[in-house]
Amino acid sequence: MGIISSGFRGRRSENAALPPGQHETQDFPVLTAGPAPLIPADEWEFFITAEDGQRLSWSWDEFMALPQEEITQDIHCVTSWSKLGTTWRGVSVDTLFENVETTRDFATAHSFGGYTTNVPLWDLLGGKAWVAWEFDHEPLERAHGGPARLLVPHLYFWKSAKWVHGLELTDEDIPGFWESNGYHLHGNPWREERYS
Amino acid sequence: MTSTDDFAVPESEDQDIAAEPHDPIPYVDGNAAAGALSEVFRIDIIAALGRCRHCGSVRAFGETMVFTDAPGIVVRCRDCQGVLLRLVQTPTKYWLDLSGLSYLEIDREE
Ligand SMILES: [Zn+2]
Repeated sequence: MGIISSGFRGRRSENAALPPGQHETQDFPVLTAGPAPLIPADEWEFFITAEDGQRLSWSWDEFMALPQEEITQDIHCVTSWSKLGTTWRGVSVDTLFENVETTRDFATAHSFGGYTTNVPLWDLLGGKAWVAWEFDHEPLERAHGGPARLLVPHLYFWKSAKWVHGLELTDEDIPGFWESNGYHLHGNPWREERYS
Repeated sequence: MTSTDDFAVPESEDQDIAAEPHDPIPYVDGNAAAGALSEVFRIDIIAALGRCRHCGSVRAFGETMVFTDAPGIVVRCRDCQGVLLRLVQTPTKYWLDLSGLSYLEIDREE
């Protein structure tokens, strides 16, 4: 009989893909702060607003005509589940910013239904974020944010706003729905930025 | 655009709020918030009357819509779905936002 119990494990998971304090799930739990808004495709739009009244917007058809990317990423929910190797399809935020001129450093993501979350612009650009409309080769279910959600997989998943409507660029980092009531302004799972 | 509660209220008969018909986003009534809130309030909040700041509706707290499958507890008005109360429990703190309630009317003990 060994001196050290074979059941002993440190806090660190043996799976290096899991950030501290996270466990892997095979499910895709639905987390939502309210009822899911219903957005018909002909009423959907995605907008970006910046300084000087600059406002770009795309209809669903215009959005679908943009270059689309296949995305495979791990996702990490602050409630401690992680889902590894999820596959998505969507438009890179870099593509959406091609014609945006701004000196602003932060964004507030606005969702249909009123949800908001704040993300620094440098966490949205450089191949790190998408507006995704397909999950696991199927159109994104309404419960998971369909028609389209923000996908920022390197931050806790509350930053990946469901039913995303647009990005408002701001000079300051303005706390969103959860960030204004106890959650971390940034939300990096590898640094366990869970709470403020 | 800066409001967190400009809710596009779905048709009242629209229970298809998830992708599959008859598979709604689950919510429960105000009693489901009782356990967590009893640690914060010494009053019986479930029986209290609250006025929704968004639409003015006055109802017993127990009649609210409570969403618990979320990073915190979100209590919404049954009439307009606006946020009445949010409670986040961290390992060391409660974060309580009551800004969606313009008042709570609470019976005093006899
Ligand atoms: Zn109301």
